[in-house]
Amino acid sequence: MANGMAASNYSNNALWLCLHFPHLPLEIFTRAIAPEKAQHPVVILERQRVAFLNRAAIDTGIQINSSMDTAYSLSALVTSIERDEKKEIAAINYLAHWCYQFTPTVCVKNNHSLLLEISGCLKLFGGLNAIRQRVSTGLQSLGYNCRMAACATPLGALLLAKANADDTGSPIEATLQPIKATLQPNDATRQTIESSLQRVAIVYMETDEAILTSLHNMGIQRMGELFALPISGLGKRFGQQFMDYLYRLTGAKADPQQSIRPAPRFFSEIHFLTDVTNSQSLIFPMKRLLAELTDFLTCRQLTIDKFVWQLKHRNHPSESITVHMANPENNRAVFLALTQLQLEQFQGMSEIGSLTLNAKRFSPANLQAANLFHGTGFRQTDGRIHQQGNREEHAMLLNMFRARLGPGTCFGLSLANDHRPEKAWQRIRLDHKEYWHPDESEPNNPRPLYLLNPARPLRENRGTPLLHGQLQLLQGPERIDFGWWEQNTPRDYYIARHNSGALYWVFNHLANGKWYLHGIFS
Amino acid sequence: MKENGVGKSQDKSMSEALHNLLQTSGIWRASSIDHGVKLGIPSAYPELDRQLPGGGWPRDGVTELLHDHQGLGELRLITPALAQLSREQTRWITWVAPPYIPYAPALAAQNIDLSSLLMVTPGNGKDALWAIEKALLSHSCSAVLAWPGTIRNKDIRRLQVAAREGNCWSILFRPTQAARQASPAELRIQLEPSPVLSDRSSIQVCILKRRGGWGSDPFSVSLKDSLSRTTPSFPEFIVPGAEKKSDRRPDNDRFISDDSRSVSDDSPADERRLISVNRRLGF
Repeated sequence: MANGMAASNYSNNALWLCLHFPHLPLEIFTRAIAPEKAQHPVVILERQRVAFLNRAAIDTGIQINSSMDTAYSLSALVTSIERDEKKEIAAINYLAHWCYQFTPTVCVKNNHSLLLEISGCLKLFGGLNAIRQRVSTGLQSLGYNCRMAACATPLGALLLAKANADDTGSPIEATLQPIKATLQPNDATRQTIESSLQRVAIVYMETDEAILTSLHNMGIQRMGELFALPISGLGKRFGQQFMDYLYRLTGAKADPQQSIRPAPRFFSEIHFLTDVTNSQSLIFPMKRLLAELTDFLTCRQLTIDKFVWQLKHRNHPSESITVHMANPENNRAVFLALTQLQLEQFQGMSEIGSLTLNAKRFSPANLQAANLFHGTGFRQTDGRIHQQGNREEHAMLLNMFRARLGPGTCFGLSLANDHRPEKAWQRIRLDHKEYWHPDESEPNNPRPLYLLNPARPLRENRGTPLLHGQLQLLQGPERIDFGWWEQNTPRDYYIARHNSGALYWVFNHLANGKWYLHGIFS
Repeated sequence: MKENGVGKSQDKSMSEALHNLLQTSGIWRASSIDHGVKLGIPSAYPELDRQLPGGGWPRDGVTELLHDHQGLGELRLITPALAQLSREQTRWITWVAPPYIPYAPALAAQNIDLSSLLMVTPGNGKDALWAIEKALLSHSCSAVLAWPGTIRNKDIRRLQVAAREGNCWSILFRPTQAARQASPAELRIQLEPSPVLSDRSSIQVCILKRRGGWGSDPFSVSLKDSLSRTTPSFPEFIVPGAEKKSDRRPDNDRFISDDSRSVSDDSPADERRLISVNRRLGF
């Protein structure tokens, strides 16, 4: 280390490769065009002006910032597309995940650049040039072109990559500018960074337009001239923020980057050589895919609560089977049993060409030791026989009910904070146990074990309700007031006895004097 | 019930033969050693406990409750036992295809822990039987209450085996006409309304079949509530309704009501609804 100015907390071994995509707004559209049709001129518009254009458009004479009228007068064939920044962001994120194959440290910068920290994988891929070759070949096959540069600091790499990209609407096929930036990681000192950045024009710096203008007015064109100035003077003139940028650029200050966290996703597909016509023959390939899924989950210590089968055939729209679980699981037998239950109900396709298994939305595994006395009927914890039941068995029962009977067919009951009989209870999902408990016990007026919802109108005879014979009113009335906001009037509830001995909960609607049956004291 | 509804597809004839052998011969099995002395779940009704083998409701096996009308107290008869099960076990109490919504405030008032309840509403009878059997076999239910509709003898036998296997109390609610047919259920009880009307509501119970004894004569079980107590001054409460009628609008515009909820007495749609209600209530 010739120079001691490199901050001690900055890793000297880092090597950042920057991929800059200057034509991303154009390429997200043109990558769908086959190469033989690339002669077609395409321009991307921003505020009614041409912002990006492809080689064919340049050849017709269209320039950046020309209006659409000019473009049409130059070529009648030109296709114009409005710029779509959302698609650009989606594309750069996709590319970031694609780059994850090279290194675990991939950062998205400025929505048009990616930063890859490659010091750890140089050996694996056989050196910097081999990595650059792989990246550029891979990106070209995806339909993207990028400018690459490597440097010991992230900002340095970004600066070089931007400088390499010609910003005058250059042809996409342009070769890399011959600025050498191949640094050995061990030489990542301030001086070497400065020397490699020397020839870069200052306009590529990520800083204020005003600073660039005044630097320009000072007669400074290249980074080398900037570095030659005394650093304290620069600080006084341009402020701390600019100094901070320069320090991070040259590696004098640490510049931590936020790398992407790839979302785990499972996808696997089996293509059948001959079309499958019998759903039972799907079981074997399903077992195989489920084995892959459980391996995937086991390695990552994850569980899932949902996965999707897709059955495809070239002649039919594809069908999917979604398997839900009450609790997140990683158990092949459970997955298979639930899939089979769903498959029995499935009246789908007559022929199937391929089968895919998809899973996303993972949750961390909650690993616990298996029961020593599993399957014997005895419980390790309490020694009782089958008294407690365990969580997996509970979840499995719910899973089976949902898979065969449908998701809405099993539910729990809870109290609700309302005095109106219809609203004093609620159905709840069983996996989220949100049972409402009253603070203090309510006055214990008798309530029936069955509720009729809605209440059934009863016929009446001179003020007493009828239900296949007269109902004898035993107790009452218990007046329950309904909210004025519901436009419901009070009701008088009675316990009524039928000739058969059955006890009913009936009410008299005070507004119209009609009788209704609302519950049964079973 | 189709065979595919059941997980076990072993050699059926073999297991059937084995089962028959075990049923008829006096082979002693270690797994059944405690069947004779198994203590029941106290029903909270002493007169009933005295009659039930084990001094209470069985902890496993099929119990049939035969009754024709809803509202006799058929649920109140078992709710104390369900309350105890819900408090002492973390397993579910599963209700398969109940005829109406079990009303949570009333269940809570009976001291049942609502978080142990699992309601299952299958679309048809076949699915209901499947659900009952799965719940019984799952080891995760302490009791399964089911309204299976029509059910065949061999289905009950399956449920009986499943209930034993899963150590689960299975309660089937069936109409009284089923009493005329034999059933493999361990305990069969016919319920009738109490002939005498007293302040404390009661129910007439007749045990048709039980383990280790003949059926019983009908006896009355007092349900420990005062639902059937009459409010003494009741007629006065009713009369205001009659008075109201007299000072209400004249009879001819009685049906032109301003309340959209009210239903005219003679509307055919209303009649149909009444008939369907009546059918479900058992009339």
